[in-house]
Amino acid sequence: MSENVTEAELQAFVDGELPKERLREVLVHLGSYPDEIPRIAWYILQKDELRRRLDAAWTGAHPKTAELENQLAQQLRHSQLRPWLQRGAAVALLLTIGWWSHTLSEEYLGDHLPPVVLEAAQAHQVFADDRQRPVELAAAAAEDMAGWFSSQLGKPVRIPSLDVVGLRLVGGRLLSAEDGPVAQLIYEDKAGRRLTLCLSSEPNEVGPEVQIAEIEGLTAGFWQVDDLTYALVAETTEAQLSAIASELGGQEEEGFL
Amino acid sequence: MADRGPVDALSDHVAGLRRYALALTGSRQEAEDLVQETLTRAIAAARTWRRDGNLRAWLFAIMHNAFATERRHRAAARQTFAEGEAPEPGHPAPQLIRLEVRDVLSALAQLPDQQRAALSLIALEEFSYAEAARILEIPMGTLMSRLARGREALRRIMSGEPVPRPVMRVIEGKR
Repeated sequence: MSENVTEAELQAFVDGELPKERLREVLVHLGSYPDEIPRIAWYILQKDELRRRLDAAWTGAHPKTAELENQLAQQLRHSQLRPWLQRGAAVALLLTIGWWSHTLSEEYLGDHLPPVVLEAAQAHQVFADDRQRPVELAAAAAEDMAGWFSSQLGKPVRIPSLDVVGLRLVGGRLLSAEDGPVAQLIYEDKAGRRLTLCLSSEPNEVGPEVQIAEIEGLTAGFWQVDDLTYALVAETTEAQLSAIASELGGQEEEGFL
Repeated sequence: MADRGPVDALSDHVAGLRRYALALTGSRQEAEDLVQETLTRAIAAARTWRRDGNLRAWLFAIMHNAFATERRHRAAARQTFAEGEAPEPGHPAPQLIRLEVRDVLSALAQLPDQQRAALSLIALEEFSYAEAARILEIPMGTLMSRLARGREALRRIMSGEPVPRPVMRVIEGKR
């Protein structure tokens, strides 16, 4: 009987992870092999002992660590102010054009909005609106940026130029969405209004047609070309966003920075 | 405020990060540096934390990655610089640290990194197996075998019993 008890189950017994229905077997095993008991008892005592001894290494907090901890607490609280993108975001969505307006169903209103679109909307709110926050990668280094994004996304990424529609590249940064890395590019028009373009190489069902969604007052357009999903977000009209999306769509062969 | 919950436990999590960092690096200075690096990365990535996510596991996963990066850099640096310039990891200055702490650190330092990480997350920080496997990005079976080996090796080291090499031989359930 006790041959059925594995080392993993003994470990689980020590850590309180043993399923109840196996407890009896393990106790019977220990009864049959009393030599095992000191080892298992030591493991159990080791847990408290380790913690006690390592806690004894410290006297008080390091000031720089304490400062970083405060900053992190602030950032985390800040991110809690935007719960709308974290759960049930789709409820706030209005899908207005594209193939899926015809097939709009509960299914698609649920969790099927690609994470890159939510990430783009959230990133737009956080970064594009905040002039004080520097971009991580300056526009001047577009070539380096393209190289870096390509390596992070695992697909060739080019940095589109939107000069034709009066938008200049401000810079970019790498973000992480629920399903993987996202490259964020920020563009700005002459009046200082900003637009966010995010790229993701994670697989999804978006398809090549531009779909438009409205998320908390922002307009988002998204589509897929060659395994890359594009998500455009700005505080603008559908028509204007569609125009920019077409400009990007027309750049498959030309027009990259 | 209803939203206070998860972030208010941050200080406890940071205390846990310091313990884990000390177990990993064996030196208070390196541990403090690793905690600071972890917090800096967490600040940069704060937006990616979902409020319904597990903040503690998220922080430990960041530390795991920061430590892995640091180890790679250290390995590269070792090849660049002559021996003897930097103190070896896992051997803190003995006069600065209490004996009982030094003993446990030097015992932990004898374990391979991977076993030390698995053991510390579970025995020291009491993460669930599922959480620890996620933090270390390894399958559950791998976690269990590292835990069992690390635990037995630490027991033998601290009880003054010889540790056979390879350590895996020890773990067969019965003697």
